[in-house]
Amino acid sequence: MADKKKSQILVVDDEPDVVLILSEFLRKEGFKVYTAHNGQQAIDKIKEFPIDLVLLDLAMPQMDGIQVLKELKKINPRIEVMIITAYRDAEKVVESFRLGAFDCLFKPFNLKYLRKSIFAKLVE
Amino acid sequence: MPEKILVVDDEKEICKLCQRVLTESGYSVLTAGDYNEAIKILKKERFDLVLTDLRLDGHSGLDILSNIKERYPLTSVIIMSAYASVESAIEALRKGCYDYLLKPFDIDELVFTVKRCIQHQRAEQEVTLFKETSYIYQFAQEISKTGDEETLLRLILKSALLISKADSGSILVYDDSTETLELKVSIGLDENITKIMKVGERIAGYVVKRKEALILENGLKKYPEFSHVPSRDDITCSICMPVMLQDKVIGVLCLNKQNVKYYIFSEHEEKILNVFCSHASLVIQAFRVNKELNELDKLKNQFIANVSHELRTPLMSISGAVELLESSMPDGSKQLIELISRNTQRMTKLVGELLDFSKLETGVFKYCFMEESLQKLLNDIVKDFEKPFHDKNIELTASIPGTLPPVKIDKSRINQAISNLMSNALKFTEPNSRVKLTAKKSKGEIVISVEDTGIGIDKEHLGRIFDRFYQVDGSITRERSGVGIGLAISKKIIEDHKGRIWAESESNKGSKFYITLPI
Repeated sequence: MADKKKSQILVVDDEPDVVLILSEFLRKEGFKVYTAHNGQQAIDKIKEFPIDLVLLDLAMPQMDGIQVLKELKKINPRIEVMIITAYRDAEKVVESFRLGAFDCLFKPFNLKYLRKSIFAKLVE
Repeated sequence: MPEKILVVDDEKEICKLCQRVLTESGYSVLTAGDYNEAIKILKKERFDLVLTDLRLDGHSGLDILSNIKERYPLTSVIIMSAYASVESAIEALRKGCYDYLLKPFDIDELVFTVKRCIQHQRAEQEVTLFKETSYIYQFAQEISKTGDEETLLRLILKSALLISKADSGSILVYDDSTETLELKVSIGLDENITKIMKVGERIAGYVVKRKEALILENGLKKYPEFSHVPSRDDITCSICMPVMLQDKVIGVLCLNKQNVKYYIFSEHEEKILNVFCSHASLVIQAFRVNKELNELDKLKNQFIANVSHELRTPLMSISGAVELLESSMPDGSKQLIELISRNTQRMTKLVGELLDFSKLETGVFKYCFMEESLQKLLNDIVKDFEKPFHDKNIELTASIPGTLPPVKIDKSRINQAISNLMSNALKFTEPNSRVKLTAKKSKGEIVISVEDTGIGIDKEHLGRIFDRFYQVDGSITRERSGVGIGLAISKKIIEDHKGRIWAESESNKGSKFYITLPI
């Protein structure tokens, strides 16, 4: 548990309100939080900061979540990625699991589930 | 149009008798006195039936038989003979003659045999037509799901070749907007033939313009209007049929008889092919409509997926914000926050139903069947509903025996199906009454029922409440909310579990909904 407070999380979503809510919540939980509003920003942040976990939206303009996921894993295969999506597209989710995402939450989800899943991952 | 019969016999009297008797029976009869005359007549026209003597001077009736079978496979032959021998009879039948008449024959026997032969011939063609058309209908349905139009056209062409006993053919599709014909499929023809032509151009273009069938003999030399079209010597006879839908041409079917000495498509064949073409046009039309529907369906599903995405995204922000607020709110605002939270959940559920509805339409619910305890599932449902029932002052009771055997179900879908019934009971029952959830084991199944003492359902509505969008009170001024797809979803789920769902009710006395699940 001691480790987790130092964990750094990147929230990637093209919807500013979602980014705001999630980052606010995670900060309150004690994480160091970075944000990105598109794929390119996400990649830049990953290169710049020692990020442990990424909350990644799937449907984004230009570069979609799957592409970002591939890039992220290339840069740092140890980064944990959790998919957050409002589409119930099973194929995309399965693909993201194949690419190494560890969990997926379907929007709208309860923040307490998010907490549970992240804690389980970062503490295990 | 009377059937045409040729009588061949070297005894003039026999010819005369046959002609007289058969003309009286309504046939059109020609006669020939010897082999050469018969062949000459046969070169000029086609007959439905040839009656021939077995022995003609210097020739056998069997020669005529082979000659006819080679040229006109659809023409029937009856052999007449005074010298009955089992061998010649068997040989004639083997070579395809229809029947055998022994001289001296009875007049009634002659008429009867001819009639039976003609009827048989018609019936055989009709059976083939029927078989082939029902076959294209069957396959068209399959093809419209996965295949393309070309596959369908190829199938139609193959059937047409079978019916007409033709050797090669093609189907051209007509595009009304550009007034052009395009060759889509061909069988037994050169790949390099002209593929696109305008109305009036070439033979198919001519058929589109005239809107009637065209029969062409012996290549194209006889027809000055087609002198510019390259003729093919191996084609003995062609028939080009317009494929019509109501009075519009949608295509052209061309069939060719090849590599035989003489052949002319008969009027009867034209008639048969005409019927075939009307069926084919319906099949093509149905295929196109189906295809369009499938595309619309895809668009609609995409639309629904997008709409739910658009709805879920703000719901995420709202529900997240509410959750964040909850921990830091002064007591006075708790109730308001709870209200926002409750309504967010309600909207989330509605968006889910919207998606379910689109899946209901296309029939793809994905299930994960597992052996589950119904007791636990039902108790969870009761727990979920305790508060709302209590809030509305309705007494909720449950009778769930601990001895229910486990069943193979998709837990979350069955929960959804039963919860729908519970929500309805909650919605349609007035305060100060009762709702009861019961489960019991019956023969080979488990029966779950939700009984309320609510407003009940009239007989006229009872049969339709499981239809999607159906609401007993669907008016704008109705007192109860909802979009009217809950029961349709429940029905789909239960039927996919091989169970049954139904309702019994009496107006103002309450309703009882039943679900059965096989053990």
